[in-house]
Amino acid sequence: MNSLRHFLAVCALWMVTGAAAAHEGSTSYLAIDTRGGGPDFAGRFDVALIDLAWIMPLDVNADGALSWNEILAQRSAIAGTFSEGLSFSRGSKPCALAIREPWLADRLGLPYLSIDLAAVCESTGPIAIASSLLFEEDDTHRVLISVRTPTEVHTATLAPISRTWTEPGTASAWRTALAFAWQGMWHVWIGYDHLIFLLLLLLPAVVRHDGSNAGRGRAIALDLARIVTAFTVAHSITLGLAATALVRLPERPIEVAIAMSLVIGGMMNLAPPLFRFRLPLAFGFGLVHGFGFANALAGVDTGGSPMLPVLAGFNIGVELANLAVVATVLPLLLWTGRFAWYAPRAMPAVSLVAAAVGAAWMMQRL
Amino acid sequence: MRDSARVLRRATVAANAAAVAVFFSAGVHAEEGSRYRPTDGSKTLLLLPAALESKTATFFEEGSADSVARRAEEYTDLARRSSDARYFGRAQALITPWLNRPDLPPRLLVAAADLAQQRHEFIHSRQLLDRALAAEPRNAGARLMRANLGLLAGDFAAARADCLAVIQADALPGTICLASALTGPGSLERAHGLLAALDCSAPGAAAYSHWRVLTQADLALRAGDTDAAVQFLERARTLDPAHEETRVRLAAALLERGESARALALVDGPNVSAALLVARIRAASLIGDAVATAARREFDALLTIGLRRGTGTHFREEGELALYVDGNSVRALELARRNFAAQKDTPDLRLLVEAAIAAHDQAALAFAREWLASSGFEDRVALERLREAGA
Repeated sequence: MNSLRHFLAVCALWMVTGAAAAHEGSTSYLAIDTRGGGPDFAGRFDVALIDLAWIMPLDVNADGALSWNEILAQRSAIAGTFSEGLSFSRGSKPCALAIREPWLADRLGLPYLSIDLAAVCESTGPIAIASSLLFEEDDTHRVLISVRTPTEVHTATLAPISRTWTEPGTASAWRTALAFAWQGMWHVWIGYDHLIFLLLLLLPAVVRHDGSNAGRGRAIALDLARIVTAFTVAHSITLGLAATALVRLPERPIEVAIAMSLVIGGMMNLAPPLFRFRLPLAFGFGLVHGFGFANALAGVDTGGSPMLPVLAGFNIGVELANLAVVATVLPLLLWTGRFAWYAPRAMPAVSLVAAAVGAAWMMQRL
Repeated sequence: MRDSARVLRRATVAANAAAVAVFFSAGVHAEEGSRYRPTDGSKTLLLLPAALESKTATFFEEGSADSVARRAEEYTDLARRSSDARYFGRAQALITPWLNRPDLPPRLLVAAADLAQQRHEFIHSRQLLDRALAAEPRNAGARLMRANLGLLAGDFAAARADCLAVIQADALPGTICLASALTGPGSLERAHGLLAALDCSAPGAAAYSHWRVLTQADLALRAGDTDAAVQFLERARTLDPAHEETRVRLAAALLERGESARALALVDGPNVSAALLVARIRAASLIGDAVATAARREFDALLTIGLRRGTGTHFREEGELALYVDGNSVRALELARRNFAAQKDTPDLRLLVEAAIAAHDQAALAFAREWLASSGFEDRVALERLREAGA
């Protein structure tokens, strides 16, 4: 009989390991806001009804169904359970906890009980949070903590093996910005499509609109400054919009459009009369590339850092990398641009190759 | 205090078996975590089936390894039936205090191995099973579980040895196990023959029907017969309509046949899981259905929560999304590689091959070709795709 039970269990397990862990298990959410100033702070704690029903009797009429009236009837007991299971301290001194009237919330399709908390603390200083709710009963239980301070947002997770969290020392905004500046530079370096597009914008800088080779000097510098500034402003706008979730576009069409920017940029470089459209080209596709950077930034763990230094640092990193590319490529262009073969042969050849690469990427991403 | 807590817990254990969330009828609460207070307090928020308490209360005695193992098995089964991982956690919470004790009974070791396998801790799971089998070599459940680990690791010889040992205890599950573990040219036909020859009218055979039909579907897919695979999967769905993996595999097979609308209908609904959501996004994207956007949002939320919980590894699902929806073959290949390092089931191999082809990655193509050759795993579709790609 024992063997049979195991057989049946394994039958259920068979070939489904990949999907079997698909459901994440028990999760509670604790959000704290300390921006009100002073030692006291407010919070919100959401716990799934199905979890709460596991640790305390909520089904008063024992009909196998849970109603809002039953929850209201048990609200004192619920408040007692939370007061017993959750504890806060600040500056190493315990805080008194007041629990308000409950709400309901939906999270990933499950009904949650949501309560407002008010912690009355004796001193300022780092906040410490501890929970003993559900950990003894459910090994998958996690409490996802979010603490919003005047300068940043901390995120943390409580688990059966780590049931307390203490607010770390305040990270400097400059340090965050510096860290993300490196990220910005790194993403330019590994983003070949961005590098190639930038190169396509630079190539005609040493060529006159009539196709002849331009002289060196102020005109080239001004032209490049306008182009690079337009590109920078454009992708800064969309990076900001996307990173702050004000605008959200799907990744695939953006990646296709970025590949398309290489095709169009490359083809435009074949026709000197079209050089005058490099400014709108740089601005237009700069907007598109900004969304691409936002997708890259989305894949970076910000560790709950505030958005401003993250965004500023990442953008500064991208710009520094752009300037580094310009500084590296420009002397080479100035030198090669002096030769008669540059404008009619070398530049079109390089542009054509870039356009072909862009076309291949476009097909791949479609 | 402890007794009273246990009484309270027991009184509500029933409340949690295969619980079904009933959305409050007052309206749509679309935004994640948005709050409300019901206007009608008598309406049901959550259904609490009462099956578990009556089954477990009669034998559960705290302090007995055997009763802890039995209760952990109950919760584990419940987690699988209800697709709710919190019951795995409840089983683990029962077992954890026992794990450092010496001379654990094999039954508790097997229950712990089952949970470790569920968490993708395959090496730990195998160690626990080895300990159980050292103490009780004829434990067929442990053998079968270890065979599954062998299959996931691509160690088909070890899996076959365990399956053959199971056959000696019970021919039916042992044979189904063996059908999945056969390798080499013609193994699909031999496996099919083994399954076709099973006596389905034997006592207890019905319990294995779903597993047998799922295995037949996998064999058909590997043979390139999608129509037969769909038929088997539809039968499996009839046998167990709630089985999530069956729905996901049937949806994938239907997508392969271009039946996106049917696939979408199959995986639509309120149940939130990574595999179902990805299947939904794939199907809805193909027919331009707005469901895709909502499902994508849910999937992103699930991943974010999984990452924050430290428990979320959905390489297969993320890889499928990157490959089939986002068209990001480079990311898809990276995810497919990480997924294949952990598990080597047919969908894992297919994802690796398709991502390698899309990314034009010769090293990955060569790796897949070499793995097929060295393991003997017969997947004619994957092999043909590799040939077409010149690998």
